[in-house]
Amino acid sequence: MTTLSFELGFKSDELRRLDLPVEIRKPNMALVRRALASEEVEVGPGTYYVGIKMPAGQESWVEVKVPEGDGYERVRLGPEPDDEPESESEELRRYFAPAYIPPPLEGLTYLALIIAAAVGVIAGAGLGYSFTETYVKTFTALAAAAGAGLSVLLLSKALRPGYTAVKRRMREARLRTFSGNVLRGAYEAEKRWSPDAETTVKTEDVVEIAFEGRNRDQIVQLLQTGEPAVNVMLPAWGDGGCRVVLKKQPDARYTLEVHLQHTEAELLLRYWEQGRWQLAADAAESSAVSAQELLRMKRKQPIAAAVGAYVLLRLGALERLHDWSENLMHWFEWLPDGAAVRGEHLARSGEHKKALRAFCTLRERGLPYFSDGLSYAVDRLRLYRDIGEGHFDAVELKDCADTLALLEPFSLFTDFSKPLTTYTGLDPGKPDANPVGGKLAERGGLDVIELVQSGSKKKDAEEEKGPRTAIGAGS
Amino acid sequence: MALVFDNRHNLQGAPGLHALIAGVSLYKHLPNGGGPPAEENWDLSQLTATALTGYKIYRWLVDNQKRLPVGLATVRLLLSPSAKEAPKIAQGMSEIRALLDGRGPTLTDEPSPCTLANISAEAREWRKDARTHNVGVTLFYFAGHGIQRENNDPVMLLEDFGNPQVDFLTNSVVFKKLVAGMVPQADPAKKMARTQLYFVDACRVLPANLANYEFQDISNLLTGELGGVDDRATPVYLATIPNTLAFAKIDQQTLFSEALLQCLDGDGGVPTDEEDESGYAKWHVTTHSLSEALHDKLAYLKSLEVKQVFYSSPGGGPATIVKLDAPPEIGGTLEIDPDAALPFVVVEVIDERGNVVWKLSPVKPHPYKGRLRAGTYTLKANIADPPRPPYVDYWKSGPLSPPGFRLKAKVRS
Repeated sequence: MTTLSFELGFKSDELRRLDLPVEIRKPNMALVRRALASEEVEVGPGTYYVGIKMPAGQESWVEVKVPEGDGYERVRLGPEPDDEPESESEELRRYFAPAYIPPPLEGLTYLALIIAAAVGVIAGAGLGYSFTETYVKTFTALAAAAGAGLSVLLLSKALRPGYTAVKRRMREARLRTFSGNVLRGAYEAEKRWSPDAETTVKTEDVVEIAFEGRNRDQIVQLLQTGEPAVNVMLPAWGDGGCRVVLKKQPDARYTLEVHLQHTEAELLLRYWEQGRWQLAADAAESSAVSAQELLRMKRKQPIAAAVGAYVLLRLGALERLHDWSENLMHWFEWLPDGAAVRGEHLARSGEHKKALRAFCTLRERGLPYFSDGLSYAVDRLRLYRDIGEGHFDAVELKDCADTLALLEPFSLFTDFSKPLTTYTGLDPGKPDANPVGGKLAERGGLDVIELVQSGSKKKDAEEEKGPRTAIGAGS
Repeated sequence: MALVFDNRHNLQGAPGLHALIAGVSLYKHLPNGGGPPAEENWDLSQLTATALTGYKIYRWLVDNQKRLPVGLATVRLLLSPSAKEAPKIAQGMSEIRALLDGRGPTLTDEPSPCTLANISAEAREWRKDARTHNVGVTLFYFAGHGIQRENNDPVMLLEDFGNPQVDFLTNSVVFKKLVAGMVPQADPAKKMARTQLYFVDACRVLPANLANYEFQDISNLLTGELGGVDDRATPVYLATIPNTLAFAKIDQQTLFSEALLQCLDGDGGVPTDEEDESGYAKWHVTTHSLSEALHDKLAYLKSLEVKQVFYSSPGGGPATIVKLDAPPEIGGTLEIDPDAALPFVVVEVIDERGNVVWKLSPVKPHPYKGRLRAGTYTLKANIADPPRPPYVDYWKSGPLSPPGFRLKAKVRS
């Protein structure tokens, strides 16, 4: 037998150390083994294909010929040298970034099209009339129709990029942060917040801001002209921080992403986001996101452990959650997701009274950081409210109703297709879907466009000085 | 009668797949529906392809019943077709009868209209069947108008939605309560199919004035239960993400069902650890591989410029949905890098048994497009009459699997 071990050929330390799922197949594609990059695998003589798949879909395969007898072979997996990204930050973006669907160019309003058609009619009719010596009704009508059609066509096709560019210039975008428990109304805006240069990375149309764990709920809010404010719960606690990434889209809107600094947990989240559940299941086997690691790390990575627990819940791996959910609940009394994970785990185990008690602690703990936690809590509490009579006493049912009353307003405006709790509303304690009115500058916070432009200018200046080292990504 | 396919007697107690399929194109109380108009219509119109989509899902199950992990036991089909769809569906039902008559299953040619009364009754019967075997499989598919009362809570609108004789939302049903109603019972001795597949092929928009209505007015197909140990696999596949529309090809089928059936026919295939008698790996589509394959279809949606995003949640470990007869065929491209080397390059693509499946000299058109059976291949690009600096021979081998491949021979030294 030959022992295979794996080496990841990435630029950044984070990716090289990553416990990526590895697949080993025979030449006829039959699956030999699923493993993790940290594992060693024994295989018999033969030819194998060993591969990895990144969250964004890139695959890397290596042919391995294993001879007769005992042996050891280290298999290097990763991009080919001429496919390697230029920098560590680009590497992380390329392999982890979700597949964006850029929104189309700004659509034209019906009013604009009607005005264009009217102008075309008048111009066409005028031209038609002036070119005929006598008034010819048909010709004028035809010219008017042609003028209208041409105007609409020009405006909707040829002039659309220009129209979009004008709209872009009119856009504003600001970033604000809040801290505290939004469920209890005990939160406040961070009035003096401003990311410092060391924690901010700016490239063309992309800004990355690092947030450190502060042992307090943190919310980042993106305000954009004419759109509802978007709030995201930041998974930054204890020793674990996160990165907020703002990306400019073709229509000048910004998207807001949040990335965990714990690379394995980030890997799980991105597999989750891309629907790659087999890979998520494999990655969830890694000790890096397990309850055991939680112990080894002296309880320093509760967010990563919560991500692992949510993935196990999605995969229905109840037996693996036994101690995990209990520890998450009791070791981190501040962590809303500990209660949500434990509650759902207990509910699926048929222990509904204990589950209700766990969910009700969200009133003190706050809004879960992950949308699955909010979804589990609201769904279960609704079920308990609706059919719980006979199973729960009056006090329990009142607790259930009170907790649900706090959570439901958030649930109504949360985007559950995003793993992190993301909801709309100018006041993060009062979710709604209303577009933000008035001048955004008056709302305070950070001017995103200014931040990007200063980044571009700084980049230009640095490029004149010579090449620079990308900082911060994935750290 | 909704029970259009009944094979329970032939399965003789063995576990089976029980399908509940609903497709609604005709909405009687929406404009041009022919019934008394709803008090409001949220700008919803008649649909053109959703009933036909329901039929196509049924047809796929019938055509692929031998490839399912358990025998096809029952199909309950509730369709409310448009005038254009009705004859196509009738013809399809006749074809199924001609295909299966005398082969065991009891068939009915007339699906029931998808009204609240009908689907509620059929859902209860469906659950009864699901409660006959723990290793059974259930499949639920709804195609029609959809809304959501909040972001993660799809609501399905039935044929009689908006009937002015009842509360406005009465003839709509909550999806989540259906899943909750299929939970294993508290008594572990009582059975329940543990693999439950759910597909909701509908829009997920939040009507502006939905808050004016009581959520309690929305109906439940099944009464919820607290249940016992919930060790089901309940993967949910949704046609789109919150606050977006789902689209269809007029008079044909929905984009989601088109992508879904492509995935089930092979695009979602992954190899197992078993081999068939000809030495190839056996392939199957699992609940997990289907999620990934649907996600990979987003590029197709993007090419159509529709703002629709398929969304799925695994709801448990991987379970086989369908076994494939052979490795799937996949499409892809072959490129020579750089283009300038094209006149000097002879390309061979060789399968794992040493057969040359493509021989291209020159590679024309470039990039070359073609289809290959999923498997491992060696790409050889040799420079004719060497040396021709800076170009050199290129060689690489590796697996090609769905959704597609992009072979690139880099012949510059």
